[in-house]
Amino acid sequence: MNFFVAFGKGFVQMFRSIGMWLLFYALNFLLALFAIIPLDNLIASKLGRSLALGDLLEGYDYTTYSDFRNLPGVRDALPAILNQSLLTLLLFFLLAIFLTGGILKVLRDHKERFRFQHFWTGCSTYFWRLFRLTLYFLLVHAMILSLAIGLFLFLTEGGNILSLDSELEYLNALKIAGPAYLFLASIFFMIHDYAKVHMVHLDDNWMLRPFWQSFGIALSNFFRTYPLYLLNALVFVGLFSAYWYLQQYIQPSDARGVALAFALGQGFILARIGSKIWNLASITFMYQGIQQRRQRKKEIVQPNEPTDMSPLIISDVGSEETAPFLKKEEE
Amino acid sequence: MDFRLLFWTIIVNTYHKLLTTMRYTQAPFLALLFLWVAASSTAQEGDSRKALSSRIASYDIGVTLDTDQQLLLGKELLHWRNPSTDTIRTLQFHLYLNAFKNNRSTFMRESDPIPNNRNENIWGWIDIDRMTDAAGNDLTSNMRFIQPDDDNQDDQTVLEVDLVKAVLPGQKIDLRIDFTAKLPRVIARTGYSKDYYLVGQWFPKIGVYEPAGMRYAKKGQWNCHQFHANSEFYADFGVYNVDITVPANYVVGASGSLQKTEEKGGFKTHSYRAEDVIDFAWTASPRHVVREDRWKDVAIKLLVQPEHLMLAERYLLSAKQSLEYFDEHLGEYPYKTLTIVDPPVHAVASSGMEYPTFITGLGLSHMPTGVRLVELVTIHEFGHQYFMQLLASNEFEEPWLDEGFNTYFECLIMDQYYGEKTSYIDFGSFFHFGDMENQRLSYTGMANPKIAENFRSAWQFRHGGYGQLTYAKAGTWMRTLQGLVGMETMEEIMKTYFERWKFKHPCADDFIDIVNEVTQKNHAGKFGPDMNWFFNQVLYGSNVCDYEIRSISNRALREDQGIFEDKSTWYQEASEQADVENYFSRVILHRTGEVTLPTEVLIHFENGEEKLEQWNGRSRTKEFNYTGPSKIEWAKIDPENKIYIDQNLNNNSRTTKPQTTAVKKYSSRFMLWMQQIMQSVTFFI
Repeated sequence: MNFFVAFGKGFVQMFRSIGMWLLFYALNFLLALFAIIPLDNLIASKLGRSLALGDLLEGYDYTTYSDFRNLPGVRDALPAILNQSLLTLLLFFLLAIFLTGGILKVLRDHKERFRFQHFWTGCSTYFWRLFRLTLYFLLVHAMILSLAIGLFLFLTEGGNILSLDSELEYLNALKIAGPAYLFLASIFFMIHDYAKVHMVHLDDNWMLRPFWQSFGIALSNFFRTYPLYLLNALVFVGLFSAYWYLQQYIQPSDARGVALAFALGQGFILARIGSKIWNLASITFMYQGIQQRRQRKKEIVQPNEPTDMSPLIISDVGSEETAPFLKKEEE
Repeated sequence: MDFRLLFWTIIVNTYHKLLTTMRYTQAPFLALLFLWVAASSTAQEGDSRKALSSRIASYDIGVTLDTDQQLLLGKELLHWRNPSTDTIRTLQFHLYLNAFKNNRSTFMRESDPIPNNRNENIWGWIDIDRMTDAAGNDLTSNMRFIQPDDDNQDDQTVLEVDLVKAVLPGQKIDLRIDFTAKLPRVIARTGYSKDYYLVGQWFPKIGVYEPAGMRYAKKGQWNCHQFHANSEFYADFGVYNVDITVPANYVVGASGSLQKTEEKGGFKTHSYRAEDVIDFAWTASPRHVVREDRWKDVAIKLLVQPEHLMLAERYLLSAKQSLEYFDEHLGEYPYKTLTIVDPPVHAVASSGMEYPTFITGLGLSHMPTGVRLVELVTIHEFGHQYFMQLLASNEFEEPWLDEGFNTYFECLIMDQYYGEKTSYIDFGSFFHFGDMENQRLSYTGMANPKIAENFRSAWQFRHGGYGQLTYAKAGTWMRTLQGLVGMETMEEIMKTYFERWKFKHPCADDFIDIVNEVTQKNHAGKFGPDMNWFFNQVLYGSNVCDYEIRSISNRALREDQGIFEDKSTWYQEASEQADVENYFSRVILHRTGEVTLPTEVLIHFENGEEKLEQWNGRSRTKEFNYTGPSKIEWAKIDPENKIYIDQNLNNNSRTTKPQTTAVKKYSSRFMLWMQQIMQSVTFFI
């Protein structure tokens, strides 16, 4: 499948799954609200009647912020609020893994009408597998990051600034290690996406198989998969730029401005979540396209083979597997 | 009129007249004769100029830099005059490079953490090989190390010498001192790093003999402190003639002005002369790139690293801004040169240092223009040309008089040229803050701002607080003093202080006397008979200042209700709908800090009316009551922000209407950040 076609199909699919999109957003919103309520109360109780806070409507003020931060009660409260925020973040991370299973299942069976029952089944079915997959890829990313840091240290004689002639050597090392890391990390982020999709399509409890096989799927079709990944990344960059551009025109110096800024921010978050679904949907289409192409190739090579035996063979990664979604389509 | 120009004009005109009357063959001889006269006159130029200072301690030094071993081989001729009516039999010298000799020196013990490095090449030291007086008496065997500040017998930073012949009152003595010094790996703003040398506190420097009555001296005494972690300056003024010999490819910069250079056998000797200064420092490196500029008749020379060339304009501009501001608001910069050194990153420990007419900056390649460290450090270090150098206070005993005053001026300059709220960091509306507000917050943000009083010797801040109190607190209370007496009076105070004490050694009492004198003249008893109450609190005390608007209440005044003595109005029907005509309004103020400063309170009523009340700030609580047709809407202590030393400016104001919109603005912003972070972690799923 052409990556543009997958990209376009993903866009359409994003709107067909609007229920889970809004659900994802609602959870994001509610958890952030939960994390921020103590801070809201703290600001209101310590600063709520100070003219200094009113002046902040016109713009940021370091003195007001620092005097607030230095207050004895605030000094103690801020670390507690930060801890609560971190816990909320962890909770959201787990919830996001949970929801991703449902999203992937809905996308896999995209020809069916969206039903929340179907979605929740996916969430519960794939949670632990996606959780383990996430851990594997976190390990992979840690290794890539270590490699990049190692490269940087190698180029800067151990990172000791006193041993360098100038800080330009730092910058030059960053110019090499930074892009190398970004390129490598983006490839592994992409493989991670295909691993998720592949795992849901295989519907296999054994996690290492989709983990390794996804490398073959993504890399053997690199010139399809990577441009699609870059296109999806471009969507995020575009969204972020649009938000950055628009928010400059909103002055949150009165209630209307504050409400507008809030609405724009929420619109951006909603769009970000949508772009994530778009990304997964387009990758699912690309994945299914690749598998169908392989299936057709296989049918041409082995025309006399009974079709019900192997509707999909992932021959290049050394393992034969039946793809249940194809079975379903054939049925 | 430039006298040098006049002199040369006379010389050249005379030469031409003589030429016309003499035979052609005699012309070369005459030319040589006139050149010799002219050259001699140039060499003596400094001496012929009127001395600006007392010139008690002058030096002729020849020093050779051994770049293989980082050694300085020096020969010094010291000319010292006894400024007292005492007969002096011993002299005291600073040998500051010995602070870096080992980890037992007072400097190293005070430094945190003590370097734990067994590489012997990092250490530095200085040895006096020979000391003789003008009569040829060898004083070398009369030398011994003393420790006037502590009992650390291992500290060798102060040397005492018994003279063979005593120095009588007003008499001069010449000493010849041969010394060898090993430079440390750059530490405390001196030393070497690769092929970069920043040579400060490098030669045997005589201490200050304080006659009875000078500063706090009850009787004549040497004031010659050991080298401490936080202080190093107190010296007499003099003239320095220094010949610096370095490899020929090294670019040199130094205090004073370059007189001549001479190259011989792969080495180059740079001859410098600095007049009416208290110290001399220099730098050498083959990597220095020279950029030059002028401000009026001051030649500014920037020695910049090639990778920092993009910062050159920022260095030069901030130097010119400093010159301009100090010239206008304090006094004339009396020197003709200013040298700025931009250290390489591997010698960052030599950044941000001041020596007479010679400072080091701080820059990093590609430093954003919104991070104004280049400007701030240059302006701060230049300020030391006034506070420490021209107003040569004792940095050991009264560091606030040097660093605090300089911080105050640094903030004034930064805020004037780069904006009050953007002078330090300026990333647009996203994040910004000013230098003055940052200094205040360094002090008010201390975990314990009462840790010590400001008036304390630099080495006595044993448990912390030196930087915040000496720089930030002093700068903040100077800004508060400005708020109290007004900018005009403050400028007069500073100008008087400068004019009266330039090229001398002022102390706290001298400054306070001037504050009292000028304030009394301009404000005639407004602040009492003197301003000592101010200094007793902010300088000699450690308490903090905090005023607060505790509450605002507005009560509707109704006709009398209830039972009264005459029983005639035992009951009156209360009516909620009755028209309220007057309110009884009250503002209650608290003084939660110990420091008491007079202040103002602005009361704003709902009908737009405003009242400005005076409060001497002494009582623990204070109330202002009003009866009138309008409610109080808000009140603000110190509306013009004069009491800048207040610990919490947020509680200086209070409104009856909660600032709901502002609370929601920031809560929603933090919420959005939280949502963004939450969404960002899904990258890893």
